[in-house]
Amino acid sequence: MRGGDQEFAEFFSARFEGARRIAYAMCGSWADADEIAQTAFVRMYARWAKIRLDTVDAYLRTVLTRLFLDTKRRSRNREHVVAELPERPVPPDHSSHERLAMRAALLRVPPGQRAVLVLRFIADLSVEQVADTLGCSPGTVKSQTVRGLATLREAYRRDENLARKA
Amino acid sequence: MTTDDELRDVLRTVADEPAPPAKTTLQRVVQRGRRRVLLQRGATVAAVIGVVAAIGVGGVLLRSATAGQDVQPAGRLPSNEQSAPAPPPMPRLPGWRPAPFAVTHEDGRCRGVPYDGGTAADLHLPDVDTAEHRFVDALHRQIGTEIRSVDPIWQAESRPGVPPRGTIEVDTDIDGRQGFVQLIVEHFGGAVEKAADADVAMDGNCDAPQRKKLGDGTVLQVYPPTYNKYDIPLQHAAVYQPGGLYLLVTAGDISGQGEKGPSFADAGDRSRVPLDTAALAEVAEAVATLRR
Repeated sequence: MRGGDQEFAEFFSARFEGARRIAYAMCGSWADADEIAQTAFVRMYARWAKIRLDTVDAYLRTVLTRLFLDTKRRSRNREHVVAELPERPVPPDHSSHERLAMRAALLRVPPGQRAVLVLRFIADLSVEQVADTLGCSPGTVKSQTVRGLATLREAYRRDENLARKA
Repeated sequence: MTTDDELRDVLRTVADEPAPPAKTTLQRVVQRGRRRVLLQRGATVAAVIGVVAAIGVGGVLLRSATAGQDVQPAGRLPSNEQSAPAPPPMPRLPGWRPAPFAVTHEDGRCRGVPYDGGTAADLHLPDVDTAEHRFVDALHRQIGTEIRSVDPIWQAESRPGVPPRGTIEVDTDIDGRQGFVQLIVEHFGGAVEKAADADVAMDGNCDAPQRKKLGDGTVLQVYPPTYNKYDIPLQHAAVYQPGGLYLLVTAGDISGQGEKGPSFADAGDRSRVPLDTAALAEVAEAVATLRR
């Protein structure tokens, strides 16, 4: 193992929380996000000696995203997509309210498009980086981004209206 | 919110939500990762997929225990390298018979009669969701809720130079002992019983497995408990379907990470290897019904 467990431990400390948050943005559940991120790091540990240092972050993103998409494919009823926002007091903080509505709206976007939106705008990757992560063309990333944003916009508008009425 | 820029600005805040403490620890990741590495190095999958092997020197020893008697060890050759206590003999399973045990001896290990069944057919695997449900349900029936994680890796169709292969790895925690049960699914070429015959000495084991043939021609084979070359105690059960689908269920204990010592459920301590022989056979029979 390259540099031994110490190198991997440093990588884990530096990257796990970020990976968990990206997984959360994709799947909407902290428990699922923990499991996805954990499995991603398990797979990386097993292949650690074979991963090039300059591609380790890209490899992590790829493994994480594929695990999310595999999970969605395997458990289509795993995610609780609500028709209305869950009952909770409307937070006085406007930004939290917006975030809540956006989170619910994001879960309405189909998993493939959702992964593209999360990688582009939350993980801040370029079109080319997202294409590499997903194993598709930059053109596909762009078209998925357009469709994803359109779905997101409509869902957000609906959810925001529901939240304001609550 | 009217512009995509505004939409994206709010989208970026989704991951900023206050998060509960992570349940994952570095220790847990390393533990699971090491188990994966050890299994990848030590696992023995059927060598009958289009492989031809030369018969070793020393001739052929043909053993076949008499039906109705407990399966007796076929006779492990003395080995100066034997480092762990021998596993206990496998109890006789109702409805199962000792497999024909035609083997050669080589360097203290046994080897089945080689069989060239030809190249496995290029067919897709069963659906991964179905496989996972069947496998995990069967495990739940045997070990209840002592399953910690389920990790499928599934390549259902062939890629250039890479045949289809699926694995489902399940981590277990029984009374504080870390174990695993793994399902491997792939294809083999040739006749069912000949393929099973070639595998009678899995892991070089010189103790005869037990065999059961189902009504549709599927052959199941449960092997005696053994250690792999990393001293991980484990036990295999294999399924050979007509049509060429091969499934291998392996249960093992990784608590000691290779430390030597008796560690088998049949020794009376179920908290060792997660499944005893009968439970392993039940799981194998459950997944034997998987179809493409």
